[in-house]
Amino acid sequence: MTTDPRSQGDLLSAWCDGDAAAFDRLVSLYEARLLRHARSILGECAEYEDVVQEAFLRLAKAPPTLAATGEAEAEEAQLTSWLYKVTKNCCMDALRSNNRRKKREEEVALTEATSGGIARVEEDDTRMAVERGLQKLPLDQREVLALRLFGDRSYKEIAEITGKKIGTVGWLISVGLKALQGELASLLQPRAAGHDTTGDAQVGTLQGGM
Amino acid sequence: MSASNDKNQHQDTDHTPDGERADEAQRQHERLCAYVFGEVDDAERARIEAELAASPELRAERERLEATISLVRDAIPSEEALSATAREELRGAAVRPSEREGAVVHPWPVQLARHPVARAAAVLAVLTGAATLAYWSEHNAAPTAVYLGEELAQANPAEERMDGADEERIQNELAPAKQATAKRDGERGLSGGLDAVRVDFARPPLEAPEAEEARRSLGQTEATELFFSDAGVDADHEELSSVNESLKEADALLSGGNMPAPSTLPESGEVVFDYGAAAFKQPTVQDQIGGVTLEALGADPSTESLSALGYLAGGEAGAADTPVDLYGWTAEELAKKRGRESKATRENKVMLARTAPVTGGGAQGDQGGEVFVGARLHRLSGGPSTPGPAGPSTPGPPSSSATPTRGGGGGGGTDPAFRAFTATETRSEDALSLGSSARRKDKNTFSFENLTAALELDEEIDGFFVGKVELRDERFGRELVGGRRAVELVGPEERRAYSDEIIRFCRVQPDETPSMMFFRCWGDNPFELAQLDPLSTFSADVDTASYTLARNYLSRGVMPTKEQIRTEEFVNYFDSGVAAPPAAPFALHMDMAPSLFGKNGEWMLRVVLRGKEVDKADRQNLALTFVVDTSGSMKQENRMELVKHALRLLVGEMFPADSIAIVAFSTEARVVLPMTSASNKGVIESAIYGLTADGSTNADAGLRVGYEIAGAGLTPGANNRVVLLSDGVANVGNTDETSILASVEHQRSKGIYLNTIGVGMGNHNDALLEQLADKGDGICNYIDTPDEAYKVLVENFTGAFQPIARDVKIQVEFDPAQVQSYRLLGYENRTVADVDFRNDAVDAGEVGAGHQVTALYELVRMPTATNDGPLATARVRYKPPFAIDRGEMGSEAQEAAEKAQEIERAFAFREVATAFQGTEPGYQRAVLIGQLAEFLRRSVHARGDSYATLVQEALRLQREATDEDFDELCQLLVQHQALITSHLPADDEIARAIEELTRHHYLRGQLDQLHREVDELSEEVLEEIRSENESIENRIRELIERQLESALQPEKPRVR
Repeated sequence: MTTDPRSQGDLLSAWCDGDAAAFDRLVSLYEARLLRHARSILGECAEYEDVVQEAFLRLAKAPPTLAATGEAEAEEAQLTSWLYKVTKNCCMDALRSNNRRKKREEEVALTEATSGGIARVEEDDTRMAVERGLQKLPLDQREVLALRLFGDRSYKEIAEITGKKIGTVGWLISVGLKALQGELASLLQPRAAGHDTTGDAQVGTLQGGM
Repeated sequence: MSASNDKNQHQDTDHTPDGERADEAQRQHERLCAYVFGEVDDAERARIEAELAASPELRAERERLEATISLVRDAIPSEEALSATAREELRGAAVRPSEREGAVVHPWPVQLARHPVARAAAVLAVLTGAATLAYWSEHNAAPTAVYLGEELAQANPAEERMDGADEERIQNELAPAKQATAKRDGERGLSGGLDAVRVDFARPPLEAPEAEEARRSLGQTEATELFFSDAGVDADHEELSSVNESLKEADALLSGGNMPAPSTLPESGEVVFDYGAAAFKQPTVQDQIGGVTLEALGADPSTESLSALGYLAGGEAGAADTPVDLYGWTAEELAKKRGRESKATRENKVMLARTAPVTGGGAQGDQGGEVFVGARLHRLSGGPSTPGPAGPSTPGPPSSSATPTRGGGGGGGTDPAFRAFTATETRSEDALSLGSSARRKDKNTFSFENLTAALELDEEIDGFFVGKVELRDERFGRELVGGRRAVELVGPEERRAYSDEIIRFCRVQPDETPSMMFFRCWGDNPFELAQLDPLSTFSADVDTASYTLARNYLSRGVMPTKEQIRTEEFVNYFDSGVAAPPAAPFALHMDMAPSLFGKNGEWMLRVVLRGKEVDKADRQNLALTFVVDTSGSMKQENRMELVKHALRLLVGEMFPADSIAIVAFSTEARVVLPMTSASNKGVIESAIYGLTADGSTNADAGLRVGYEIAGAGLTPGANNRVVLLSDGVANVGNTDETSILASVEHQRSKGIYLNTIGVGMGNHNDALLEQLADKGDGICNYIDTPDEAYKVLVENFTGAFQPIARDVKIQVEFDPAQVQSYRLLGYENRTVADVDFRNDAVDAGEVGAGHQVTALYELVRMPTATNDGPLATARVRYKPPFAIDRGEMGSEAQEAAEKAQEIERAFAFREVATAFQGTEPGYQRAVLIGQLAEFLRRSVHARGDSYATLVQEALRLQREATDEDFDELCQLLVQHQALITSHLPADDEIARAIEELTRHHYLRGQLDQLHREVDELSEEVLEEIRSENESIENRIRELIERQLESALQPEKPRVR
């Protein structure tokens, strides 16, 4: 796709004036990011594509009102955070509408029960393991981590998107990463061992103290 | 951060090193994350790098963190695009906004330069964001649409108007917001509204200036200046202080009648008071600041570790390791400290914690309800700070090992390492209450809401960090007077400005409906004109916590605050005398008699909803998960013992078929007892026995783990319920009240109820516990004694744990031909939008077996009423308990359980009793208790009512109809007569004039609205009101002028 010189704010305005190409362009700009976001919230099995489609539909039908600052970046930031929010809301709707969440939690609980399941995960199943690890996190941690790790949003932007305080965001990230770390310990071990073996021993004591 | 370092940090005996270490490690990890993500400033980066260099453990931790991050990042594919079909579908389905029929609306406010077309609801969302949705009051629906339509037409006359369908849709979307704004719990209520709006629309970012503007126009933000005052009182000051008293009362009136501003007791002739930052620059003020030394501010550590106070959450990244001590003193205490600065003693200290409590030990005297707050911030960790010895010889704050470095000297003082400030707080009434009971043995606590905000503004004077304390009140309209106490009594201009501001406050604010205004000025439900709004809708509330809590306060000689009184919970505590139905879930009863306290022939209508009784033997099986707060504060007042007692009582009521789990939480949550059959009494007892209090309060984690356990042990055919026992305030982890509430709401959909049981006084975050139970379809109780625990948990066991209906909404329709106006007593935060009565998606209260819900309406009859047909019709809409309770798991059963039913009862005028004394005892009890609540709320409607009449009637009724609870109430009434009556709103000339003016403006607003509706208001009437207002305004100016004048001349006799 050739690059469109127009700013995102201009694209949005153009769409409102009926320029379908502008909307298409916006979709191209955001689809990868939003898909990744929805996926990390909903998990692999889910219809995350539908969710993203729905988010774009909302963009088409009820585009946000951007505060005019005259700066393309500022407008872009507003649109980005709007889209993340809408995507999240669509995810929530999806979670609510069917009882998938419950089922998935049961699945997760099941794997937990047969603990050691993750240890047996093979190299090429890393993705599955990571996704499962993400799914085990509470939704707020998952969302914040997804925004940080996949969306590359700053703490401040995350706070704005999720409506949480920055301190809470920092806490959620820290707690979420710690949990993930524990969850993925079997995958991390070989790597960490290569770097600093003495560190690992210390870790045990530190974590034990907590 | 090494563990040994941690150990040195905290010598506070109230905390075991373990809990502290966990806290510290968590904080360390947060900092590390922030560092890895590049979220830290240069100074913090340098600190962390130094720490990294020094600590191999930390380096290892970082490596692991980075490895985790890259593992996760790499695992999720990033090169993704929508599939071709999805893309195609999207192209087809995405209709351009301008092609949509109906509401094409330009964004409002219009000054937003870039406006892609947004739906009206997006506009709505903008407004909601600014909390200005308040504009659309809880009033009836019609004006809303009209207004919106007009506004839009104005904004862009060329645009077509909305058609009917869109109006209806907007109505529906407005409904939750309207409901929210009708709640007096500003933010909490609002979040409910937002949730609903958010389903369809994300909230566009709100520009700061707009938000500011919106807040200002509604007078929602209140700035209280921070100032310093010598608190020494002597005879010379008597005159000034009397003026201050008077002004204070005027202020109190304006601010809702319950919160007189603290009085300043200044040096004679000096600048008495000011409003704003200028005050800090006054030389006199600076001198006074000089009198306060850091040592005096520091005082000594108290029962709770500062790090446990939760001041860590919510700051900017990087500042999270900066804790703060806050101490509060009464004026007298501060004076003492200034006299003997280094002699800050434990007895004189008032301790302040996060959003709620100041614990005051031995506050003596009653001079003037002024509270001083000193704060200093210092790092617990980080930096090159060498861990100090902090031996027992230096009983400093727990973190005293981190030597505070003063921010003075060079560098502009930007180093936040050490700050101190002193502030006054407007909730002086609490302080007054405290001060007036000097003989108390127990510590007392009172509330400083949102004081955290104070830390954001600062200014350095003499090495102190000072700043405005921004107090956001949940009620509207205290902006004007909140922070104002005295005036610089110089130029006529200042005086004029002062009067102007008072008068402006009395006027209808821009975009304010009469109901909004009433709420802003008085904080009570107004009389609604039946012609404008014949429907009154609210959610059932069976809680009684407010009465128990108030009783506890009164028995300690402390007047509860207005916010703590929920009239409906008072009334519900007492036997209504309405018999429970034998089979049907509900009986609906109505009766009416002349209003005992009405001055103009008002009537009092009682509506009672009574739930069926369920015998203990017939109740369902229970699967209870107790989530027990074991934070450090639970050590106070034997709270932990009370909780254990309550748990044992509950276990005693359980059958072998029931099951029980226990989760304890402090800094983190842990499962103490997995789901266990109630027959294992020994195992359960040992789990209960092992509960000990320590650490901070992570209620979010506690609830999360509790719900996990409850969800895992979800038992079909049983009542699945989480029971939270806590004294209050979440202060670590996710402390966002709204998000905690949201997650509870989510859990409810699985079929798990949530009950909350509050213990202890002060820390007790009554409002949060009530809201939690509300969202969790459960009941909120408050227990203060073993006796009350027995009453609530044993006698009322089935009521608390056997629901008979969910989402119970009540709507009363008044016949405008017979009823001119009506007001609902209580239910201020339970209002439901009229249109939502039949909207089953809107959440409402749960009713348990044998519960009663009583509503009292004071009403004015139409003088010309013919008494045909029903005067009022009450309707109740409810859903059955969760399907899973009956063991039904299928989606059909779930749907059936979501189907609401409705019952109705009409009440005609011929059914009334002609005299109050001739009514049922239950009716009389309800009216008298409602009146007591009105007094305690300092309700505007109770102004001028006679407390003596209340006592007299109560004693008469006590003789006529015996009732144990009522006997106790009578005792309370008589015993605390002096305390209660002394807190009733003052009745001086200025206050009366101000109130009269406000009333006039309110009336005028109401007339205007009526005018718009029915077009029958004559110009003469309006002119009359206008001129009358003018004369009152002039009178107020004169009176204030006179007050100020006399204040300048101390030798004159007192004004009052």
